[in-house]
Amino acid sequence: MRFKKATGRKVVSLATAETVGKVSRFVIDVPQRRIAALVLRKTDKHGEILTWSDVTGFGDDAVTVADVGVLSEADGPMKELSDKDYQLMGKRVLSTRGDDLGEVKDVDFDPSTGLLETIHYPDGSARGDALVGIGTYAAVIDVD
Amino acid sequence: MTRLMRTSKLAKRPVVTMGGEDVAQIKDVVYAAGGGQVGGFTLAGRGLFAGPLKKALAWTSVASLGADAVMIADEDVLESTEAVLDRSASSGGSGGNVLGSQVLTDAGVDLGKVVDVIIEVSQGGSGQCDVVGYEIEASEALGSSGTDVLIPLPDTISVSGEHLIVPASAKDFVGHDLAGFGAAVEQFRAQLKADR
Repeated sequence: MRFKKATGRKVVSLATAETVGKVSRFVIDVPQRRIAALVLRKTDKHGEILTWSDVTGFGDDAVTVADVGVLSEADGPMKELSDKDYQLMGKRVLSTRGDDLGEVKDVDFDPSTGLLETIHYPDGSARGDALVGIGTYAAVIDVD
Repeated sequence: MTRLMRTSKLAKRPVVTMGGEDVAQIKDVVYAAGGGQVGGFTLAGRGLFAGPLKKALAWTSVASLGADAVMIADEDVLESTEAVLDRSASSGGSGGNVLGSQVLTDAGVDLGKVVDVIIEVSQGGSGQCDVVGYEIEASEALGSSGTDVLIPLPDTISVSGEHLIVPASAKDFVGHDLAGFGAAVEQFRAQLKADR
């Protein structure tokens, strides 16, 4: 599944069958190369953070959660990680050699595990496990 | 694999950690070994109003010098500017400020004035960062007066603030662009070794 397609997808509570928000951004756990959490919008005063382990299903049409209660406010390390500045989509890509490869166009991930599979940039792509870091300036990828 | 770069293009290149943070940018190149090597870089802060930093980056701490960024492991590898300057000076530094110097062959011919310094960077950043040539504004002796040409340097050079002495044969290896210049440098150095 791709970040771009999954962005904007509705998040539905299984307990009430109501939409509790929409996917806005992905928070990445860089050392594990997986999605740590989703940042939601339109959550109607509930928190905007949906931790990956609280996702029941990530389907083509909706993301399901047990209940709206799993949403939380960003705090601790999540506060910084979930900031727009650390978003992988659109981030400048630098190789570990120090060459600018353009901006992240899209990311493939496994909807069952949240693992990053492929990172796409203008002239190519890299495996998810080549991701070295995501900072305010760039995402660093080992292309060797 | 190696690549050649003009040092004039290095100023303002961001210094980026493997974590993706731009912690500084290059201000100046610090030369070592009598101007024959790059010892490191002095740094400036990022952003419009940021001034020079008190920290500098030794070449040995550079993970990779790329076309768009200088990669370092993390911010902790930065040292005090003094430490980097001292170490370069003790290896016979200070030969770096060659811009504007007159290039003389050992036969006493003026080849022109230095306008840029060409360095060779090995991929991955390990090893030395050699100064391999100069871009000079050619004199009449080179038959292309007024144009900028590249001349290769031997492994060791003799520099003062005023002159820079190169073997007379250097002018046989003049290049006009960086593509192919690496080969010219190698041929030139190989020939010098054979002559010895």
